[in-house]
Amino acid sequence: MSSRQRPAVAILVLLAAVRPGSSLARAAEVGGEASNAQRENDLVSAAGSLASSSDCAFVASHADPDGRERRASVSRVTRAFAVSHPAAGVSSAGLTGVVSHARRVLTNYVDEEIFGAMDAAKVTPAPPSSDAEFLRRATLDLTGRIPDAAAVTAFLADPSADKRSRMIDALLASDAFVDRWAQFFDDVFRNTSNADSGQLYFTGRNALHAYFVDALRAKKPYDLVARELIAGAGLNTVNGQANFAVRNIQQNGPSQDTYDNLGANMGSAFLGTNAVFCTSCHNGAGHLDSINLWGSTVRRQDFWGMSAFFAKVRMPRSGTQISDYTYTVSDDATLPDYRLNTTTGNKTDRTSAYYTTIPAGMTQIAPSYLKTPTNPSGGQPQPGEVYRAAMGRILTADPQFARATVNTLWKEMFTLGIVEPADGFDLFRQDPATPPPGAWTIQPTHPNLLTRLANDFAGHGFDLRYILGVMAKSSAYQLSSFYPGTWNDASTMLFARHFPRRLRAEELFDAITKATNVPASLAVAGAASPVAWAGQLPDINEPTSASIRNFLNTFMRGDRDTEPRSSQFSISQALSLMNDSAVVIPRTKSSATGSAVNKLIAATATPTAIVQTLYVNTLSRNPSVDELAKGVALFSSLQAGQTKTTVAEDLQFTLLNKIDFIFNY
Amino acid sequence: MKSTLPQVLPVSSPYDGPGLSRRGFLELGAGGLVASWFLRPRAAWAESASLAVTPKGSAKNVIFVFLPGAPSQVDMWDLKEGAWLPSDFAPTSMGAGVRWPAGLLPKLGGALADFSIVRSVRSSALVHGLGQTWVQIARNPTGATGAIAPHLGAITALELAPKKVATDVLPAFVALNTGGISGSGYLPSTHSPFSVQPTASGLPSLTHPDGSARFALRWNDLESLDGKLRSGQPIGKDASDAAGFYDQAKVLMDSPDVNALFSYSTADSARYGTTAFGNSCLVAKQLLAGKRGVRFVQVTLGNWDMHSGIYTKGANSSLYGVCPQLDNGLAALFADLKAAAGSTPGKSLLDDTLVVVAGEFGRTVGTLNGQAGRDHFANNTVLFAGGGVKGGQVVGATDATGATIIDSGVSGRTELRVEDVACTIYSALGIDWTIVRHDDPLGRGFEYVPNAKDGVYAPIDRLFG
Repeated sequence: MSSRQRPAVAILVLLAAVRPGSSLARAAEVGGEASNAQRENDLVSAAGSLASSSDCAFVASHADPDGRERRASVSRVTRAFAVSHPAAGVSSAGLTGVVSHARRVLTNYVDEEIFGAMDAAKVTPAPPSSDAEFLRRATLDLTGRIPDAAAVTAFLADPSADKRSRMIDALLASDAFVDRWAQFFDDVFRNTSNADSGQLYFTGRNALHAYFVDALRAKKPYDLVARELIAGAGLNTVNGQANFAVRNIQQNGPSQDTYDNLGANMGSAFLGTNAVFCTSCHNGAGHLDSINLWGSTVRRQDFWGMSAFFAKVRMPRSGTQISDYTYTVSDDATLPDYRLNTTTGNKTDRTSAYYTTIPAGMTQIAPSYLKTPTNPSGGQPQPGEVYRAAMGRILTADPQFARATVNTLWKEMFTLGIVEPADGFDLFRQDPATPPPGAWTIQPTHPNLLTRLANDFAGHGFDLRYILGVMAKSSAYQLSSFYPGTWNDASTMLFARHFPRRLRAEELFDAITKATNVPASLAVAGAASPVAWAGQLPDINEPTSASIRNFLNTFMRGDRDTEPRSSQFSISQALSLMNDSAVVIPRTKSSATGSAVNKLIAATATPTAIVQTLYVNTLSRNPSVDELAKGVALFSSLQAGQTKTTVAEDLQFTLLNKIDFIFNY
Repeated sequence: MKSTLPQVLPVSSPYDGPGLSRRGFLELGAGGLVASWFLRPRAAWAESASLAVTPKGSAKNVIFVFLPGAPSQVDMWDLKEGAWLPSDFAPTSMGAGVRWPAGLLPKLGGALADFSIVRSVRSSALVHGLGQTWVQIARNPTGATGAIAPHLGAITALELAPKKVATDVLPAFVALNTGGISGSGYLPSTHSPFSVQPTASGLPSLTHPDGSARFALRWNDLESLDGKLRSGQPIGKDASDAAGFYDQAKVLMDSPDVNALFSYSTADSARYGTTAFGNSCLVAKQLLAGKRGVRFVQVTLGNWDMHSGIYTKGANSSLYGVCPQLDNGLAALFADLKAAAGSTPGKSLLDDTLVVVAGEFGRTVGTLNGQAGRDHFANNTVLFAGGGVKGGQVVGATDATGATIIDSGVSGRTELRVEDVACTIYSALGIDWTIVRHDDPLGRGFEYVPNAKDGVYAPIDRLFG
C-alpha cells in the first residue's frame, strides 16, 4: 500500500482570507509515511500520477500563465465591432478606408512603444477614436460614469486641438474619479463585510473604503498608501488602513496562518504575482515548474521570511455584536519572531523536521524580503525598525511594486494588461536582455513600455493621476475600437485597436440613472446618509435595497473573495435590462418627475429634438443620419394607443438596451 | 477507426443550430459568415477518434446534483463504523451488503433500490476550486484545454441541439442554486448555463412591466436602431454574445407559460424539505417534466467542507445541518421522477433521466481530526440513478476504514475517476465521449474527455442493467 492510500493524518487547509485561495480554496495533504518531499508533492497531486506537478493552481491565473486565452477571447469579442461601429455613424472623417499612418500623433513614450511595435510588425493601427467615442470611453474609464449630456455637446463643439488633453485633466480632477478608483481599491484589497470572507464587519469595511476615498482625494502617493496599508495600526473603525491587516485574519488556525495570509497578500495585492501565495504551503519547485519560473525557485522558508514581517502584529477584537466590533491593531516588539512550531491549522507543518533545508533545531524565521530580479538583495528590518514598516519600506522600493501597479492600471484603461494575467507576473520572464531558458517566452507584450511606465510612475511620486493621464493622453489609448481592415488575432498583443468591455455592474447602474436623469438614493449599512451612485458603494453586498442589489448582482460584481468580477453577459442580464421594474423601466417613464422623457414632453420638444437629446443623454453621442431618420419616423406613424409620449418612452427604453450603451467601446 | 455513432451536422452551424435567431441567421447569411460554416466539412470541426464506441443512449436528460465542499463518504454512502460515529446515525443493513446511516439519511435509505453507489472514484485534485471545476469540465482546469473547456452541460446542450423542436424554448442547460459555475468555455454562449435561483414566483423580470404589446413595439425599435450592432458579428465571448442572450431572453418572454416550470407551491416545496436545494430539485423535475428544451440541470448543495464539528448538531456546516436537506430533496426528486410519465409508455421520467450525485472529492476517514472534523481526501463516492441505470447496485469497494480502494468494480481498473463519470453521462445521453473537436481556439483539438479516445477512461457500463 502506498503512502498515498493511507488515511490522512497531517492535514493542510489553506483557508479563506488569502486571495485567491479564500474561503473555498483549501488544500489537504494525504500522507503519513512519505518523505517530506513526497508529502509536498502530494499536496495537490495526491490522487495519483494523472495530476502533474504543475497542477498547483489555487490560482485561476495559472490556467493561462501567458494570458493567451484571455487575449484570444478579447480579440474574438472585439472583432465584432469591425462590422458596425457606433463611431462610424458619428464622424465619417478618417473612419473609413485605409488608415493613414500620417494621421498618427506620437504623444508620448507610450506611443513610441506601442506604435513602434506595430511598425515593426507591419500592422496598421485602428483609426483614432472619434471625439464622442473618446469622451465616453475616457469618462467611463477614469470616473466610472458616462459623460454629462452637456459635456458631450460642449466637447463635440469645441474646435480646439488640445480639448482631449484638457478633458482628461478635468476627469482626473473630478470627484467621480475618487469614487471610481476607491471602488477599484476596494476590489484589489477585497474590502467586504461578508462574514464568509473574513472578519471585516461593516464598520471596518466602511472605514477602509473611507481611507481609500480620503487617500485619493488628498492625492496621496500610492507608495505611501501601500506603506500605510501594510503597517496600518490603531482602532480599525477610525484608522481605515488598519483593516488591511484585519481583513487577513485567519480563523481556526495558529497566528502564523494570519501572518501567511498577509505575506501572500504582498504578492497578490502589491507585486502582481500569486506565485507567492503558492509558496505559503509548499516550495515552488515541483509545483510551479511549468507555470512560473521565478516562483519555482521560491521555497516555503523563503516565503516565511515575508510572513515574518507580520509576526509582531496584535489585533484583539472588542465589542459584543457586529455593529460594535472593533479591532485595535498594534505592533508588539516583545512578541517572538515567526515560529516553526505548528502541526495543526490551515497549512502543512511548520517545523524544521518538515524541511531538510532548514537547519535542525531552528525554531524561528526572521523577517527577510524575497529576492527578486528587481530587488536581488531582498531586505531586512533595520535595528529598531517596526517589522511592518520595514516591509512597507522595502516593498515600495522594489521596482516590481511599480511595475505591477502600472500594469494593473494599464489593464483598467486598455482592457488587457501588458502582462496577462495581471496577477500572474513571472519575475524571471520580464527582461528581454536576460531571456528565460527553453520554450519560456518574455511575458510582457511591451517589456520596455512596462519599464518606462514603472519608472515614470515612481519618478512622479507614485502619482496615480499622473500615470493614468500619461496612458489616457496617448494616441494608443485613443485608438478606435472600430477596425476597418481585416482583424488579425495577433494584433491583440499589439493593442492595435481599443478593446471593448461590458460596463461593470455599478457603471451600468449609474449610466442608467444618469442617462434617464432619475437619480438613485442608495442606503449603505452603517453609513450616515445614502449615496447617489453605485460607484460610491463600499461593498458588493450593498446597498441595503434588495431590488437594486439584485440588479447589480445580476451583472456579476464578484464577492471580493473567491469569485472575481465578471464581464460576461447572460440571459438574466438581458431580462433585467428589458424588464427590471425597480431600476430600468420606471426611469423610462414620462411620469417620473424630472426624467429625460418627462422634460422633453413637458417642453413639447420636436421628434428631432427628442431623438437628438435621448441619444446624447444615453449614448453620449449624436445619432447618425440614419438613426435620426429612423428615430423621427417612429413619431410619424403612430399606431392605436401610441402617443408622442409613449414613443419617446419606447425610444428611451431602446437606447438603454443598445449594445453601445451596455459596452464601453 | 471511426465511431459507430454517426455525427449529424446541425442545421446552420456547428454551434448555433436552432438557437440562432432567424434575423441573426439571415443577416449572418447575407454577410457571408454562415456560408463558411456550411462549406466547412464536418471533419474540420469534429472527429471521433480511435475507439469504436457505442453510447448507451438510454437517457434523454441529466440532473447533476453537485455537492461542493466534498461530502464525507464514510459517514454517508460508504459508511464506516467506529467509535467516532454518533449512535443516532443508526447504521442499518439494507440488503446487498449495504450498511446505511438510516438515522442520517432515512428517506434515501428507503430509496436505495432507485440508485446505485460507486465507491471507487478517486479525485485528482484536493483543492476545492480546482476539484470542483475538474468535475464539471472533466479535465484538469490547469491543463492545456482547461481554460477553454465547456461544462459537461454545455457540451450536452451542443450535442443535443439538433434534436430541438419548436416548443423547446428553454436553454438546454440550466443551473439551479448554483453560484459560480463553469460556462460554455469556447462554445457560444447559447450553450452556457442559464443560472437561476428558484423562487416560488418563478423567474424574475420575465414579464415586461408595460405589457406585451408595448414590449413588441420596443423590441421592433431595438431591431431597427440596434440591428447593425446585434447581427453580422462573429460570435465573441462578451460583446457579441449579448445579442444572442437578448434573443434567448426574448424567446423566454414570448413563452410566459414556462414560468410555471420555475414556480412552485408551498405544499410542493414542503415535500422537498422547504430548502433552497429542495426547491431546486423540485424545479429541476418540473423543467424536465415540462419538456420545453431543458436537457441538463445542475442542482447544487454546498456546505460540505466540514473540517471542524462535522457531528455538531445545530450547525449549518455539519452533517446534521446538511444531510436532511439532501435527504428530503433528493428522495422527493427520485419519487417524483418515478411518478412522472416518461417519453414512452410504461417508462417513467426517472427512466429518461440520469441523476448523478457527486462532490469534488471525499473526506478523511477513521477518527476525526483535532477539530472534530474531516479533511480532504481523494477517495470519493458517486451516486447514479435513472436514465437506464439499474438501481440498488454497489460498484467498487474500499477497505475497512475507507482509506483504500480495494476493488474498483471495473475490470482492469484499480480506481475510477471523474473522467469516467463524464464518459458515463455522455454515453447515457447517446453522445460519443471520444469525440475530438477541431474548432477550438487553441488549435490543438478539444477532447470531450481527455484520453478517452485512447481508452484511458470509459463509461461505467456495469451501472446499466
